Amino acid sequence: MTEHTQTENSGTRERWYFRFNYYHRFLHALIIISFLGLVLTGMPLKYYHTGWAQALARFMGGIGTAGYIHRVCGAITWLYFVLHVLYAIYYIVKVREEPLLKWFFGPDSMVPWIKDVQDVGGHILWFLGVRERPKFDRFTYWEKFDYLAVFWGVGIIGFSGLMLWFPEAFAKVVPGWTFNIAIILHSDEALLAAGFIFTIHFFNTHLRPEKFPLDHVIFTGRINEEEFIHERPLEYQRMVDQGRLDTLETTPPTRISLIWARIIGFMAYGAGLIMILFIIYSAISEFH
Amino acid sequence: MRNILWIAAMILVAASPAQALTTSDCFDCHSDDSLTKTVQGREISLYIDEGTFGASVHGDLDCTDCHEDAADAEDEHEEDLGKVACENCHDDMTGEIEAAGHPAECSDCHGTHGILPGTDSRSTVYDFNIPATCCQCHSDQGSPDVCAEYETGVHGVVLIRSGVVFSAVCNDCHGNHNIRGAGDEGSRVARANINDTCASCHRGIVEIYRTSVHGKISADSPDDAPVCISCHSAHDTERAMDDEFLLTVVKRCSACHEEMGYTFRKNYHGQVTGMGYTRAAQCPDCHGSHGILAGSDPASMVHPDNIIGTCGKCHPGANRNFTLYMPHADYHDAGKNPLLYYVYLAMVILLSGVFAFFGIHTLLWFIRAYIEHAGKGSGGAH
Repeated sequence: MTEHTQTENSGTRERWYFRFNYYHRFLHALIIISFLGLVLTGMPLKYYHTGWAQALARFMGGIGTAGYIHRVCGAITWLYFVLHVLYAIYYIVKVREEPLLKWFFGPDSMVPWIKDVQDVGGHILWFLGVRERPKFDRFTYWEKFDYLAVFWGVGIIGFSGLMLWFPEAFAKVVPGWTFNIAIILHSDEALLAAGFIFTIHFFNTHLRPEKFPLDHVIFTGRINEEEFIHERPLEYQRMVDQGRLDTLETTPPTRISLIWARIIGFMAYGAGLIMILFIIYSAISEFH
Repeated sequence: MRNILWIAAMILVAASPAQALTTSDCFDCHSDDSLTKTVQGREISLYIDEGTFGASVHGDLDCTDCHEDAADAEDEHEEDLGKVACENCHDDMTGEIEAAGHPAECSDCHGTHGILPGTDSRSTVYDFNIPATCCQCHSDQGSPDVCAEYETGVHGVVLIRSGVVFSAVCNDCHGNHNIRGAGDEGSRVARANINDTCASCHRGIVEIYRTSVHGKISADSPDDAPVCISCHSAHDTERAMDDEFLLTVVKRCSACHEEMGYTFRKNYHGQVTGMGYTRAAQCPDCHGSHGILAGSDPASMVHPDNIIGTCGKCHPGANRNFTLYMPHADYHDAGKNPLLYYVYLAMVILLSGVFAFFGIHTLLWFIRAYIEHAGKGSGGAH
């Protein structure tokens, strides 16, 4: 295995570590598929009066078929949401080693805490060239925001989506004007989600100069030592201090997995960027 | 005695100022299919098919019954004969045409020597042939082209493509001889008369329409409410169950009910309809089509007593709660829908806030990362 873990040019041994396990990557794949499906089939409805929306809906097999695809992707969304919650419970109950509160506010948890607030300020000061870059742990504040935004988004969009999918059933419990609210929430929260993922999330994870053109970590699950130390110095140090670094070490990503990562990654953010251009174009033309 | 008769005959002949041409005399010349004359530089045939004439409604007449100025001719008539006077026999019809002011000659529609009864399928005024006859003059005329519209409209499609001869053709609406412009009060297609004209075939529907809000208003002032053609068009009348009609019905209703159309398009039914989906509710699904009644009328489809059933047509299991959905809500209107407006406003603030913060965050990050990355070069450590 030693040959494989050496980079071809330098000859120095390059170590690779697991950042995401298979389950993380599987759930993210479900997110990519369902989210793109939802945006491609949902946005045309919001911008139904534009030519691109009409063309896209036709491409999807008409708005009726697009509606079916939308609901299937909505169901996949609920699936990964439930799978994730079950995983979180399993992790907290079975895998967690620290006391609950310590873990809850610790670096392996997605809960934003004081350090994240400090990191926001510190990061911005670094942007401005005032201070050194803050040292991040396993999850940065923008990753927590991404995560919680999806969590919140699935809640809002998913629940309002269910209401609109099964209005007769929901009307047994809630008055009909809640569907009017559900339409606004579903539509605008979807715009927020699509706009955020296709610009901010893509930039934060893939498009910033160090990562450009694609960070394959969510596809391969692997991060190399150099990047690990640079991006997440506190986590690296913690692993060293706790003697757990070895447990994370793995083989480098194979060529085939990198090719797959690029195909899927570029397709996803190609589709995303096209949608964003359409949305921006529609938003601008609405002012005229 | 025999001599006397002969002399008398000679006298009679001599006394007549001229020898009248008989029909057979006429055909001596006019059965020659090379016989032509030149009118205004154009050569026209003077050939008349004896058989066709003989089989026509006028087959028992003599040529000179119509071409009166040829009657006096001896061997040959003058080269230019006057116009045939159809009014001598058909003064009721020619009178009507004249009063209506339709600038066509009898022959333009009925032909000349081969005129057949309208019931004969070969006649130019047989139902199936009427559109072609009228469109000799009326096609490619201005915009819209009524003939082209008729061909794609339901009446034209049923007639031409399905071959149903009792479909409406031009004269069913415009009349036979009393053909007047729509602006003429006496016209069958004048706004005040159009419902009656349509009722000549669509009696049942027009009866229902007359009980509706539209029908009641238009009975007194046709300009203030839709008449049949306001929604269905005159010539390119679409089948009401066709997608093409269903997808434009909102536009048709919105021509008068602008705000209802606007708010409809802002909501789910309107959005999917806008995408070409016809199974979602359009105006007539909730309000009815011909028998539309005011919402306050207990018989109205949107009256509170009936609305559950109306929604239930598409949403089985709909209950009172369900009907509290507002299909025409406008969340931009704080006065009418304060709750929706504030939900919308909160979303606008949320979106603006997130994009403003992360927009600036991303821009600054990009600049800093670019500086550091470029500064260290491609081979340098991060």
